[in-house]
Amino acid sequence: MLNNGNNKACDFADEIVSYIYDEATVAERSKFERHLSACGSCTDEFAAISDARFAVFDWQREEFAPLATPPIRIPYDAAEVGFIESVRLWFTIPAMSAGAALLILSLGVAYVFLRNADSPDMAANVSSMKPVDMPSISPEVRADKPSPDVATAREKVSELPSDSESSQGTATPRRASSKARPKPTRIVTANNAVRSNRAPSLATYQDPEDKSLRLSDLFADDGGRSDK
Amino acid sequence: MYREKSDERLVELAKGHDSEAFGEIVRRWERKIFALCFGMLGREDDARDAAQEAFVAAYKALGNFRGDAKVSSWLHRIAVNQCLTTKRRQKTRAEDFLVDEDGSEERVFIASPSQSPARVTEQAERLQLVRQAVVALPSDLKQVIVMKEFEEMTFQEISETLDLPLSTVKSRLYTALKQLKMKLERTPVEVV
Repeated sequence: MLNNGNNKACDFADEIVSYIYDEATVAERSKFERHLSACGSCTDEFAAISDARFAVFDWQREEFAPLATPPIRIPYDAAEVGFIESVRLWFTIPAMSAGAALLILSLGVAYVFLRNADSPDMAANVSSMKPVDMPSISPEVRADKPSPDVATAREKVSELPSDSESSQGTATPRRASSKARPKPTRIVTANNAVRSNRAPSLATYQDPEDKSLRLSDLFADDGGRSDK
Repeated sequence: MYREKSDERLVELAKGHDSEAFGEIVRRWERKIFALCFGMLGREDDARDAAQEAFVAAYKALGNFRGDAKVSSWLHRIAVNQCLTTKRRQKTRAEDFLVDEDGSEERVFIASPSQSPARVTEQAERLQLVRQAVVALPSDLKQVIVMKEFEEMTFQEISETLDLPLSTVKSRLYTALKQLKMKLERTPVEVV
């Protein structure tokens, strides 16, 4: 602590205020009183601080103490926070603002996702999709172990007229009677390929007849080249 | 029923729109908060308004009280902020003590019958100077001296309320009294 007399600083600031406000312990009080009796500058300092303290004490006693405590009125109904205000208070807290923003974003993403998943247009698009024309594959199937899919396909094919051509590929014409069964030849098409239990063999791969119009055909000479 | 409950329990009840619980908090702390505001602002009417606004603000902010601090700390913080807001408003309106003390403000000072008129005048002027000096202190120093002199809190209570070490509280109080002394010595009161 520094004093007005520019004497050596004594580190008794805490002890002075504790002593002035009567909050020093018995031991602290004794120690401080012994020091005061030996240090003139600290005694002057103590007197100056005491004077300032009692000036404030006088002010409090003369002007504040006689005052009556004013009644505090809380407008309980009006003071209740409305919904909008409570929402606004949420966003004044940074952590809650971040959490609220994240929640809103998550809900938005979920909404968009669910909307697209349940969209009737989407379902209609799926159902209206035409199967892609893929080459038919005719693997050799062992007659003693026909696959269930083959049996199912066979039954369906047997119902077809003999000269029909399905858009699903070339179908081997079958006899109306199932009694005299020819050597089973399994035709694998685009639609049932996924149900096949065996991978198609490239050895028996037959390229379909390509009837599409090509750009080269437009510029071909008369007689043009034939397509494959 | 509410008198036996702790401040923290009353706040919890008040959060559930129990006006009686908050009313008990007001009854417990209104004098001390009024004293704090008086010491910070130096004027009765300003202190009355600041205390009223502080309690209304506290009621509105009940939802933000998480219980990690004492209710007294929470109320003091609100009251001090309210006092600082009041002072800023006064500055904006250019209403400071130097302007008011020209005589436009009436102040009642009841003197002892045994005192001479000169003594009475001297005392009134000294009180006026002390009021000005305290109000002009930096906020952190002023708060400690006001809590000690007006709210009559112990050093330990001030330390817990302000969440400061005990030595810091004592150091700030010492510095505040030191500055007060220097201000009062610079403006001596003349006895007519």
